[in-house]
Amino acid sequence: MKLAKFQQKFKETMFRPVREIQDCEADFKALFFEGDIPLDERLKVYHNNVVGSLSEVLRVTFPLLENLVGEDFLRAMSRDFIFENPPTSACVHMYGAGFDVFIKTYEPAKSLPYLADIATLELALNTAYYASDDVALASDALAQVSPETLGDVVLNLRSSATLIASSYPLESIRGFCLDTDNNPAPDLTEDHTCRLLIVRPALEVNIISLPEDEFEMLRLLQSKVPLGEAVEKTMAAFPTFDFTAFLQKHTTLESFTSL
Amino acid sequence: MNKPVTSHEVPRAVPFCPPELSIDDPVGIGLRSPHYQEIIDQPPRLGWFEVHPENYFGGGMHRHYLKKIRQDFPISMHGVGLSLGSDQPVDEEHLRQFKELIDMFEPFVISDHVSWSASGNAHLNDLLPLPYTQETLNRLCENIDRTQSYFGRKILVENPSTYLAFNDNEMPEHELLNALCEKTGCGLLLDINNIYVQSHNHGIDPIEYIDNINPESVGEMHLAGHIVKNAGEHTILVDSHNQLVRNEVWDLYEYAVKRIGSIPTLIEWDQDFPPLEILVEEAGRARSIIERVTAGKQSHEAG
Repeated sequence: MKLAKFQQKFKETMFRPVREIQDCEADFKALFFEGDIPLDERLKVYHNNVVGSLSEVLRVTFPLLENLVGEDFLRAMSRDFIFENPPTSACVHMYGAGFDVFIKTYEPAKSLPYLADIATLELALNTAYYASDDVALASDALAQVSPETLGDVVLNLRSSATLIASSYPLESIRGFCLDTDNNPAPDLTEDHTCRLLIVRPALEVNIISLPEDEFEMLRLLQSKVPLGEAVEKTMAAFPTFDFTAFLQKHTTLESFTSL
Repeated sequence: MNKPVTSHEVPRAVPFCPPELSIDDPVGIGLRSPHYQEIIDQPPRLGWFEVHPENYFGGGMHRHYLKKIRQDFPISMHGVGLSLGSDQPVDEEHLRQFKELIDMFEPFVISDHVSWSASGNAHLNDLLPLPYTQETLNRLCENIDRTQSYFGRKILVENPSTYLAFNDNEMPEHELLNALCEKTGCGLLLDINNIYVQSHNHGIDPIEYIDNINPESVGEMHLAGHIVKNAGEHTILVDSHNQLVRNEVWDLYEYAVKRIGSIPTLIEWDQDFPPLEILVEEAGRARSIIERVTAGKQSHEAG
């Protein structure tokens, strides 16, 4: 068997349930010397390494999920995700993109409708934690730009930045998960729409709760809409939007990169 | 065919290491995040640290600590993701990020494994076994050449631990390793625990294995713990990197040092991390073996 075909078949064996190892095709099994140790046992060592290590990566990246659903449920859900969405890069600490989308339609988790949004939050925290080190916009940077061209400036958010809108109180759920004082669970029956900016100015990742107008303005800037047009659109939707205060706040929070 | 064994009584430079990056103390340990702060606060008696470059792709906290630790210690870079044995070219983006770290941190040696992890777009996150055939040898050589020319440096490749053996192997493992070095100019990272694991799992003689390796090509050695796993009526040794180095492996290491020489040696421990002092003690044990073997050779010479 050619090397490429062996690797393809080996991969398929790893990304399906361990009980199916015994059902491998005969020409694949025939590749291996069995000796004293049964082939199934040999393949199981690799299955355990591959699926076990990737499950561990997800467990480390999604501690809130583990807290909410427990270790066993998360492991089973992770395994199902891994089989359908193996990592595409050797940089496995970034593995897990799409886990939130997967959870949305994952039948066993349907009684926890906020779970997918918690996964989105944890993905954003992980992305921010490992984002490349960029430089924050200096407080006087925009003052250097001539007034005529200021409206055309594209103000970029930090490489670590993610904007999340959810109809669940993600911060309260996170607080509940991390809380060691046994506070009561957050009330999920009322409207708790939240809008968050996840960003890492230096080494620590921040979660910043935003009013609707600021969220809209940042969303426009993240889509590369020039400053002037973004202000116009935000003010059209939210007439009380205060651009000067917004700019001052997010320069202090170091939400933008240098021009 | 093996090259004749040469004498290593005469001290030599660290092989595969640019002279300006040479190290003084031959023993190091793997750098892991639970130990960052302690290493900065109280630098331990170690010659160097080894990092998995993949853990430093991107930016943030880990790079921040590595920059601090690099000020006081040499480092080596031990890749786990090049997938040199895949039947496809090494990923360009992976090479780019790896090279960025080489330029930034100037490792004294660079290494990865004689194994594969990627097939198509999927990365399996394990060091997977290869059939020892001419096709595999050719593919490994292409990927090692590609990596070395991208980095502008020679790399070391590590002998694997495997739990499967292939019926259609065309050569023993040591022969494949020697051929890789001969054809690409790369060196070997000789993992002594892996040799021990292979000897148990595949019934080969570990001494004969070491005797068959060209000593000139060895640029680093690894020591690690393994676990014994029951498999029916028999046992498989699994290279787990979560244990003390076993006595049988220490004995094999001493044999390797006698035969190959004083080579930079690493204590590998990748999960269930112990206190830093345990790792420093294990490294100290490796140092004392190197010193004992070197002293023995000197007194033999003097006598």
